[in-house]
Amino acid sequence: MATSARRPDAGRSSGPPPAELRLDAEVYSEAAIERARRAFDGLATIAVRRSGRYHLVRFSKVSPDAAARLPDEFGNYALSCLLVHP
Amino acid sequence: MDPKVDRQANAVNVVLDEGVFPRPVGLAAAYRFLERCYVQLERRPGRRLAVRLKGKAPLDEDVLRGLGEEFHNELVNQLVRHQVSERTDQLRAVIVGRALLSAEPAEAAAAAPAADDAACLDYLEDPLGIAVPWEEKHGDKRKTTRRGKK
Amino acid sequence: MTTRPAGKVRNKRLVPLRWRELDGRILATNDAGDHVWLDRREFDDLMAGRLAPGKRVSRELARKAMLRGKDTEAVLAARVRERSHHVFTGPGLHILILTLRCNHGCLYCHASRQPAGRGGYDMSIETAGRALDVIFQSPSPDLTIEFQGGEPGMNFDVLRWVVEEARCRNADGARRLWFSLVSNLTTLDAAQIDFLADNGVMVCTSIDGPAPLHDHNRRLTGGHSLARTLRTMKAFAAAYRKRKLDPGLAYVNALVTVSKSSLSQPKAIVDEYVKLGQKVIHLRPLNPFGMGKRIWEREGYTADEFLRFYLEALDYIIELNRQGVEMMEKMASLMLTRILTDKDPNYADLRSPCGAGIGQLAYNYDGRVYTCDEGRMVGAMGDDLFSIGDVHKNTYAEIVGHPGVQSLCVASCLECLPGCADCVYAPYCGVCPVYNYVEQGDLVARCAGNDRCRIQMGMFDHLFRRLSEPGMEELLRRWTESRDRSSVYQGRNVETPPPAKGGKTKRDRRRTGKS
Repeated sequence: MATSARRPDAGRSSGPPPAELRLDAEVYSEAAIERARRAFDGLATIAVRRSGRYHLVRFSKVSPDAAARLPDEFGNYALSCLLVHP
Repeated sequence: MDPKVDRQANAVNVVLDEGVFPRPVGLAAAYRFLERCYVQLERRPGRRLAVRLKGKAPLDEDVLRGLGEEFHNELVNQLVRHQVSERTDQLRAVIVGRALLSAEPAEAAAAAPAADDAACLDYLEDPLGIAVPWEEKHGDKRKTTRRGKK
Repeated sequence: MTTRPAGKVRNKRLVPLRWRELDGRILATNDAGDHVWLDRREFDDLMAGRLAPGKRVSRELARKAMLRGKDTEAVLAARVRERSHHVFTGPGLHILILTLRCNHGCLYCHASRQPAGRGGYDMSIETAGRALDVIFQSPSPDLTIEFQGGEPGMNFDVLRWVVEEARCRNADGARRLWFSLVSNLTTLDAAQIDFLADNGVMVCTSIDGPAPLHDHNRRLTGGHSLARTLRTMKAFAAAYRKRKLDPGLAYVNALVTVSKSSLSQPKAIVDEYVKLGQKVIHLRPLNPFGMGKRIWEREGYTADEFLRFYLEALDYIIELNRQGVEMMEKMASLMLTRILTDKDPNYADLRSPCGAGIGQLAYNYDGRVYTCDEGRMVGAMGDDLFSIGDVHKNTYAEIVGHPGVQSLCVASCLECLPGCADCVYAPYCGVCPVYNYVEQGDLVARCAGNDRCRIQMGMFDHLFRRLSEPGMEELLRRWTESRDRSSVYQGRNVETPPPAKGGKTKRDRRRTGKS
């Protein structure tokens, strides 16, 4: 199951700690992930890399008001992109 | 396919058989829950798809279980929709195409063949440019030309 | 559960049929809207190809193009085309919301009304002119401009301007131009009534029943809403008489919005219409749009409660017909027209695809354009999903080319929808994606649990039951025979006004912002 987890590097910067989201590449297309990345660009620095069958999405410099929900909202957006832009 | 509640994660997990509910059906059902839940999908061995519905606010166990059961209902709804949609694909194209064409501005409609004439047209005439590839209509003209010359 | 044939379908002469078991018999329909009743054995024999050709039911099936014969497909195709005339015409109905202001505060108001004295909610002449620019780009040979509100009579100057300007723009008679006013009739003065009568503007109002019920539902400052509406109806009748118009054609239409308080008095409501000399009554359920949804808990009711009311009223009207009283119910009349004839009444609730964007457009007072009036009401609730443009910014082509129009068209093509595609009533029915969106959060209906579907199924079931009674078809067929009102409402036209002094046309005056 995909996960969103706080990385244990809190305190290194003044903002919230980076978080990571793991999405199954056999479900989520690269195009959907990229659309979501562009849509969320203003809320965080978002890095996407491939690790085996997963897209790893790493969020850093997250705006404080978006920190708690950002990975989950990103996941929802990417899922909607699968249907709206198949 | 019973929903499994994960109270710690404030989520309910459902695993569905893609042999019964094809991927587009699972996606469409999941889409319907995006407003209420955080939804994540993951493929599992044996043509199965795991769906996690996580509450946007803390939810008690009954509510989470209810979400899972609702998801089952939505799967059935989307499956029927998918089947009917596939079965009536051509009919829909004809009816909707005709209706939309009829609403086009007066000048465009005048330029289009009348319905009676359309039936007599040779399909090779393609007056609406339906057979023109998308790239040729909207893509990079140079690329299209180059490909055309090959 | 769907009725299934006892064995395999082996009849190679069958054309595609839909069926439903009703009261122990099977009702079957084809795509051209023909219907036939079969008992269980006949149905099984039909499916198995065992039905003897000489039997009465075999002859009926062949006559109704349910068994393939010479030219059957061609005949069916021609008839389906005639019945689907609406998909060939484009947007013919253009609803202008002249104002959101209203002098009534109805219990079920769904139009997001504004108080009568509040400014900023009227359509301007400039916006109306731009709406006409859009309207006249529609390819439809018939253009109906319907004035709605709020109370559109409260912005009568713009109404008058639109009528005159539209006539100017249609001076060559290229379109058949119709005007319609939906009004509570409590603000119109004698000069305005004369203008509407002179210009063949059809008028429709609301009468919910006897005064206590009507005045309870439709609250007017100072009260006596019904009395004031009736006074204006009488003035219209006099105006029509003065112009020697056929009273069978020139009259004010009225409709009933069924509230919770109406449910217990179906006969009293019908009697009120008989007393007023109305020949048509339109019994409409509350809809959940706009303010209607917010007060649903107080004024709402179940689909079954509405059906009980409706069917009692319908049966009562049929009984009155038998006693010689001329009266019909509008929704039933439209359904019967679909069932008994190949005419296409092009009624938004009973067509596939629905009219949103392709049969009608709604223009809000501020120039925003919606797929339909229902979509505009959802917009009034703060959700602009059904807004497809703005007359100040968009051309007609951009408006009807909006992806929302395509979505609604696909979502209302009931031959292709789950629950509808196989429904025995598909040849007659229609769906409303806006209703589905409001009630079920999805443009496509889930028929199970969809009250609109339940109500329409209940109406069709009852009409077919009644139609199968001896002599009833002859009586109900009269409900499908509407008289052509064009001599009163379409041809009427005060002379096209000459250009204003200085050579300015009305169109020029619009551009300079002077009326």
